[in-house]
Amino acid sequence: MQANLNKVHSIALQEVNKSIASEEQALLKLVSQGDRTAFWQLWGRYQDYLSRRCLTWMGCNHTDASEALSRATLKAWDKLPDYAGTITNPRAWLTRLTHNVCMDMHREGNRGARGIESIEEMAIKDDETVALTLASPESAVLRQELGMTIRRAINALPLRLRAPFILRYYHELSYQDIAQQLALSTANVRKRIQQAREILQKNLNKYLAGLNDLSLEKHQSHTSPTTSAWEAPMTVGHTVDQINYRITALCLNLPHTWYSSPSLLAWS
Amino acid sequence: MFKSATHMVQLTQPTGVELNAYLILDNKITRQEIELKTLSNYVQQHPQGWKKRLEVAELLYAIGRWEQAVDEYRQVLKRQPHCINVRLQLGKMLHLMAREAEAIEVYESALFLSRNVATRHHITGLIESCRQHYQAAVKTLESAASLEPDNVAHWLALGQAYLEIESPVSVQAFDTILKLNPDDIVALSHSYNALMAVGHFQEAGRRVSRALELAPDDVRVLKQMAAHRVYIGLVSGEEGKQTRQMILGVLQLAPNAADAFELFAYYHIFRGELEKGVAMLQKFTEKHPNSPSGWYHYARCLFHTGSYQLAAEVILKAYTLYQNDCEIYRTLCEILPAAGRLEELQPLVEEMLQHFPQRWSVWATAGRVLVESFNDIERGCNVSAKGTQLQPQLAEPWFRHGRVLALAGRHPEAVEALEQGWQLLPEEGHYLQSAQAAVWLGESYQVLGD
Repeated sequence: MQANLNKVHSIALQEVNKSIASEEQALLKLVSQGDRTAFWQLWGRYQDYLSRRCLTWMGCNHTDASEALSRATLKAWDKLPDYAGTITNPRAWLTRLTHNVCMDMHREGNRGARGIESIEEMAIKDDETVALTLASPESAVLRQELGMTIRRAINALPLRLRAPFILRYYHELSYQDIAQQLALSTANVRKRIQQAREILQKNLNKYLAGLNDLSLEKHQSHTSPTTSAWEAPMTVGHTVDQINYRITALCLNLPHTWYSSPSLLAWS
Repeated sequence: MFKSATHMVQLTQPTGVELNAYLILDNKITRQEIELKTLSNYVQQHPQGWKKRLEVAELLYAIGRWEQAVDEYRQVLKRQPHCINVRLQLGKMLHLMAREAEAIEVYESALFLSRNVATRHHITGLIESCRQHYQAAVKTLESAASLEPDNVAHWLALGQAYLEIESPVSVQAFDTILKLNPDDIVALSHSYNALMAVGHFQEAGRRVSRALELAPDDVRVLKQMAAHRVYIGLVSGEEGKQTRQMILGVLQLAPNAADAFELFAYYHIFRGELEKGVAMLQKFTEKHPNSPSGWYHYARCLFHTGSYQLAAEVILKAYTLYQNDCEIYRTLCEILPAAGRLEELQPLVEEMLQHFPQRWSVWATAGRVLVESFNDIERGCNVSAKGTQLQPQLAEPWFRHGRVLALAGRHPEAVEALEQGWQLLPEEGHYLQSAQAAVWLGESYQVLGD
């Protein structure tokens, strides 16, 4: 009787597993066709498991584990559609991918001690870490995608509009300051910034309505930069934090300082 | 560490006036005309580019064609408005070319671009210097240096501003650079002047020797060393030969520098070859009739050798050519009374006070001339007292003021001022100053029957 029950249970389990496997294969197929919902369904099945693995691999550091999981999410989002057709065990594939992300983070950490160049950079990294720990992977992905979309839209602006727009909204300069820097009239600066805003608004509305293809899977690879050059602090070319010593040393060879004036004769 | 050598270039202003400037170059310029022609052709073919144009501007700057360099720098800025260092370079050149209003405009545009607080203070200091508000310049440059104490450019600019107001604190600014970079040739060279000004002759000599070890081809250092040797009388025997070699080295590096010829002239004069020395400077003025420095040095030499009338003619030529150097005014104050040309001197004294109110030595000189030559005792004493107010911690203004008071017959006050100066003398290396002051004190004590 017990043996029969075990057999039935085993068969049932096999059936369930088979059903799960076929369901996963179906989801993978959909993912390979670009179905975003299918990705999240698949990811959701292993998210808790992968989160625990991240915690283990990141030495029980919750912040790092959360960061690793977010990165793994993005990487999976990026890579899964390409490999979905050949994957037979999605859990094993995602586990390996997540493990690789954790190992990459450890390597970055070792390099980071030497690599971080400024306090500002550290502050930015801290901010990013905090932001990522506070948000869920899904919202992190959405935020990341939105950020990239905005950056791409700004980068796609023609130079004549991009420069004043960046100076206004990123470097927070006044219209007058921008006009002086770019040798334009203030009215012209205002006009250009307004044009840039209109173009960006149109593009972002399309994105938010899901009408354009500005999405991570097409544009972001794990090596693509998440910031643009103009987001760097204004330094070389814009502001120079080191006054040139050679220029300071430049001087006229005028006759004399007072101590060698002919006054020694006249005074005595 | 800053080890690039100083070079000298001759600048010709639109009026034809010839001046010399010291500039620091990384590389020696060779085949400059060919290089300039090649670059200019390229720029003509690609007028919208800016990198080669910048090279053209820098080459023109290095060879002393500053009028053209200014135009090219402006063109670069039209294409690259964000380049602050180009603006600072342009501003400094315009300032030295006595185009202060344009320099201020350029500095203000650089100030606007800069977001670094210390840099902004530094640029504000440069603007104040253009306006000849040196006290204000010192304050803002001090702020820049306190915000970025490791930035030698702030300390250098601060030291230069202190020199403009003849303040002994300049020594500290250059010392700070030398603490950061002990082999900084520019600071070693500047500190020579600053130390000489406060009477630290031995330390000044040590500094210039060190600079010469580091940069034997640096024209300013070589000139300072040669001057130092002439100054302490190393003009005969083996030492004299070495001094001569040094002067010839300076002349080779700076064939258009009037002060190098003056050195050679005094080398001869101190050897007893008076006519040879004077003739040397006369020849220089014939060759460079538009060089105010040439006329100035010739006038000094004539004055020292007793040719007062000719010296007066010559120093007036220097003044006609250039009115931006207080040393020319001060020399007028020495020579014109000796030549009996007081009527011409009177307006020049007022002009001098108006143009250089920040310099204590100008007030002291004017005070003496007013007392001694114009018998204007009350005003003369007040004017020379102003010098002690400007630099109360420096011995020399007190000595000079004391002497003016003595010349005015106010010996009790003179003794007080001279003793005050005596208290302020540096601990060592002040022999010349103290000897002079001792004589003056002795004279006043004698009058007072002490």
